[in-house]
Amino acid sequence: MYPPKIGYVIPDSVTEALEFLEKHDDAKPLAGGHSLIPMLKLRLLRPSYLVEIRRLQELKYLRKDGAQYSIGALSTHYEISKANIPLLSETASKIGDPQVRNMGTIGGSISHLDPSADYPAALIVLDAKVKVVGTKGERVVDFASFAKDMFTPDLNQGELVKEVLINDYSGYKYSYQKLERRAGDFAIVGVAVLLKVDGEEIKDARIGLTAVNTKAVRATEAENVLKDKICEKTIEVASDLAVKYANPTSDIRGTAEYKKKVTKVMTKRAILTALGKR
Amino acid sequence: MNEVKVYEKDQKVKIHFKVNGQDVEYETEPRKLLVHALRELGFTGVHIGCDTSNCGACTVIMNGKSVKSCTVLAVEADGSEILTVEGLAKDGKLHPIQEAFWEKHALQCGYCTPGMIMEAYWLLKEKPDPTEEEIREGISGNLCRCTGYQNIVEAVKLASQKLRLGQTPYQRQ
Amino acid sequence: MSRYIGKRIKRKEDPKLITGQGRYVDDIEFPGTLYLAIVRSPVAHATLKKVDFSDALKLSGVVGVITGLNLRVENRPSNFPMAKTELLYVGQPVAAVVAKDKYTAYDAAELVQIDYDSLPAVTDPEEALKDDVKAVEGKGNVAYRKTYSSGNPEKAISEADVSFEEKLVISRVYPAAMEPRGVISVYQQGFLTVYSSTQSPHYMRRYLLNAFADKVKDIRVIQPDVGGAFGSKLFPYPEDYITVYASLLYERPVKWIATRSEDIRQTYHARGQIHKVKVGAKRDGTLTGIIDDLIIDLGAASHGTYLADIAAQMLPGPYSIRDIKVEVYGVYTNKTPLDQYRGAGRPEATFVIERIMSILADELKMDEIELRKKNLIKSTPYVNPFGVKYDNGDYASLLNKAEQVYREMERKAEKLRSEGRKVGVGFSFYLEMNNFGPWESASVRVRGDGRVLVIIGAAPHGQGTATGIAQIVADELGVDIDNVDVIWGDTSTIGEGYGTYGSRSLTLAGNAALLASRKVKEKAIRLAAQFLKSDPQELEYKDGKVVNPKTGKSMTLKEIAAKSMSVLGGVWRYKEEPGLEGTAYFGLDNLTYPYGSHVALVEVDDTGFVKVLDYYAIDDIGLVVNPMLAEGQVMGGVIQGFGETVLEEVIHDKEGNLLTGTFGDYMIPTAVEAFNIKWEYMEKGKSDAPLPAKGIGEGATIGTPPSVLRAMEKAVGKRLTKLPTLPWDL
Repeated sequence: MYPPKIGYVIPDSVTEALEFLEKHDDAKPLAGGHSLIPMLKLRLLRPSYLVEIRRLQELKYLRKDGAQYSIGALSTHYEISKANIPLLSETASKIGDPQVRNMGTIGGSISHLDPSADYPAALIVLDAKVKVVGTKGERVVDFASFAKDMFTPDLNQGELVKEVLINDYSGYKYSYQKLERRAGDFAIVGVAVLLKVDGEEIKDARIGLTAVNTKAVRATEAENVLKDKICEKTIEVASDLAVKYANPTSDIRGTAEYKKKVTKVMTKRAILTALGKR
Repeated sequence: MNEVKVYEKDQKVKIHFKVNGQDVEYETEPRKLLVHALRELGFTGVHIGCDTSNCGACTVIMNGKSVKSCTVLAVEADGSEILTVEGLAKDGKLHPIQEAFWEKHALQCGYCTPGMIMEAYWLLKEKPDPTEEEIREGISGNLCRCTGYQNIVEAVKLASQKLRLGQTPYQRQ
Repeated sequence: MSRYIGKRIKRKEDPKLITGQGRYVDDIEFPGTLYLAIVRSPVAHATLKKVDFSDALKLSGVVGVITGLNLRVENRPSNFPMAKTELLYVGQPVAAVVAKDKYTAYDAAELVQIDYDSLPAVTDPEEALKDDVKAVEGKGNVAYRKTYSSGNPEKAISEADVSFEEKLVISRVYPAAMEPRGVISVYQQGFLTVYSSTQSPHYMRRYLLNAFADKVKDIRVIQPDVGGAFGSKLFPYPEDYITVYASLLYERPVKWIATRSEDIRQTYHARGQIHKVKVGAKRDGTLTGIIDDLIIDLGAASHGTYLADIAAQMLPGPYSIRDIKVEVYGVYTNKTPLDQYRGAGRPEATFVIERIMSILADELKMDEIELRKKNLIKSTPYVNPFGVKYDNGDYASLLNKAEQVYREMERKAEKLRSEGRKVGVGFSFYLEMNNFGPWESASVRVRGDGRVLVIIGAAPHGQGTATGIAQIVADELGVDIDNVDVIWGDTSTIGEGYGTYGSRSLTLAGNAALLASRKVKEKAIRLAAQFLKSDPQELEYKDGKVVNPKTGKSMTLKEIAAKSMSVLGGVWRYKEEPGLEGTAYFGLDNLTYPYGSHVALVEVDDTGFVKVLDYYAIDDIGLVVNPMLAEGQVMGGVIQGFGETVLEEVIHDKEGNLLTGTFGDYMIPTAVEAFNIKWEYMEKGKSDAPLPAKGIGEGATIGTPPSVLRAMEKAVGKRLTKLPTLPWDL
């Protein structure tokens, strides 16, 4: 309940923040704090300093430039849920609970990379890119490579996520389905589906799974099967194939067997919901 | 050229913020949780029910949004405006949400109630006429063990009615 | 026609609670308070070798560390309140850091090193019964054995037309009151004042005095506002003694407040029973014999036999079966000790007998309501096979009413099934025992200004009892309820009392308040006789006034009180003692036996998740003083019961580590999982008390698990025998 003693740093700019973070390798950036502060309270983490970036306006924006969304790292889940971004807004609306969504940020979430986090399923399906800023400049990375493994983002000490870039997929059908033991819990499985539908055919299909691996994965075989005429059978087969990409562990939220089973169920739900059939 | 403000772990940070419209000055080490700071300042209506950010008993309105004050550091609240349950009634007159909770028997032991009322406050700002499902989802971050939630949902519906009919001035944050 | 009793009166308790002005134990501060952080066992079973707190002492702000505190308290581990030679469960207190603020206390607690040699732990109660791995060194795992026996069930079962065996598992749960426990102990030269989040200040005073009588002359215990308890804040806890001891040691106020994680570890767990039943019945549905092997998972200490006693004694329920035997095995395990939680033995008994009824209905392919009717006790009072005397009740009327709802829900279910949905309707009928006494106290005092003060020995903590009792007193005295204040929770304000538990406060304290009010009325007549110069025989008390029907002269209660106050410094010439006060202690010569029925329409989807589509509960609790409060108790109890059925379970791994140690992992229902309940009541089964109420605090947690589980069972077409039944079990 009681965080350990920590120092606190209030930078006036991103540059100052980065410089401090680079110099102190056990300093941590504090954005929404809703992954970090719970860990401090359980004393799972003992950083020397917290560097408050929450109020740096340079990272707080959400705009659309042409066919691309630039989502500043400090955009909260609440702000994203209201931004009408295909698939991503729906995903954001299902993170945690209302109070968590008011504080948690996309930059913080993807810098943490909890294997049960919701965004990653949507981000890999949306071919999102991450702009990382450091003392030596900026770089842009595909989210799929940025998310190296659980709790392991492609971020060096002294670097921060600056923004998330997503193409505009309006015109696509989408759904994010999350199975949780009870409201506000971590996902047992989360499935993000993005479909380009032309008449009776699915021209492009993407399925992202989260919480059933150490990081979010694309169920590529399932995607390929779906790129066909819309029919019950292909949806069924695709849902079955999605299970191949699930390697869950047994815990108090379900046996591995069960989690695989519901991966199929939730994939089917996501596809049907995206198609408006549910 | 600005100097980065660095507070060492034993150093006290002086913060200024507004609670229920009053200016407050508070000095604390960086790690102090906002819920502890508020309670020390006398706002004991803000309750602590867990240590993993699940129960929501500590919910307050910070800069217009509902937050779990146990998951915010006091130092983060510097320069902010905070509304707690103690700030809802005006000149002895209860806020419509408080009236509705009383009317509908939406509390028993009262421990989750302040957080529940503040979350309802936020919910009704966001959705002035919520459906039952939206209400239940809206308070999904607030645990209650006594009431089974049914009367709380009824209270929020009644409060929404009262507010939409403009029965009492509604405090804007 | 009473003005208040029977009406949905708004609660008097609410104004302070809805404005954040409640005063719970952590809201109380004294200058100079020291704070405790308890250092707890990280393992389930070990030999404790050494506790090294030298580093903790070095931390600035730390005043001291207490270790090895042992007091003789019955029904507790031999090292109590602190482990000294052996660690018996995760969370067991080992040491206490005393510091100037909470943050420092917890910093220092981290620096206390516990040196131990791990021992094998036993966590499964059936394993424990084998007595291979010992839970407590030097003790067999079977804490006690008891047999409840009536008739010849072996013969009945062997001669039965139909028989079956089943193992029913009721997992351990955690009561999870929203306010974690806490204690403040304030020492003042030979006297202590203890503030505690407790269900019984009087009981706490007694058990603390038992331990500290050589150090203090008296203890005053004050119950502040309490954030729920459900049975978990009644019996002695280690931290109660540690906190008191620390305040005696340092002669300063000492405060201890549990974090949620600590509370989940140390607040006594509940349920934890396995019932292996053998059942026999006639083809026509008459239940003829039951043999039940009951294993109760006591944890590291036995808190007495009462939980299994109640579960055994109430097993026959409202049915006429006479040949029945329950073999009770109380076993030790390396887990938190077990104690009561909303229902305390009756939910377990009802779960078992109602499962038996439903399973029997399936085996016989008989309608389960008809089956229950066949076996229902036909007339009351009734002495059950174990000597429990059920009081007045009309079970059949209530069952018939519930049947109508059941049939209606079945029709709804049929329609949904035809649409391809997996739905089922569950039904339960329960008879329970409550109003655990032995008695309760109340004082009614009319002040000089006419305000009525009621002091009760009960100690409500959210139920709204004060409002109910104000209704009773206001009606009896004929005064406005706004002029009646009810207070409680302080051992200094009323002589003796027992507290609030076992659904007893409204009935026992309510009747005590009623009788005390009658004494006030008698007094009022005698005083008025003096003031009006009448013969008391000529006067009567009516509508808040003492009236002489012949002369028409009258005095209100307020006027009598005012006249008694006369003039400060004057004299008292009247022949009657002034003071409009009455105290009464009320007890019943039996417990009371309310009954009810729950009907649930439930859907199970393709992820195994359970959604309640419709829920109905009906109870007969005798006179209902405030239907709104009674309904509130049912609504809360149903959701708790639902939690026990599909979400909640205290889980330990094989080494005894707690896997559900936070509110994130021990999942109580949120508003999203919860659902709406329709509640109705009958008032045929009145109790023998002057105010014939019976109590509703626990009924709903008793009736819910069997009805919900049965509905799930019918939805998935698979026999279910465990609480909770999780999505992957379906």
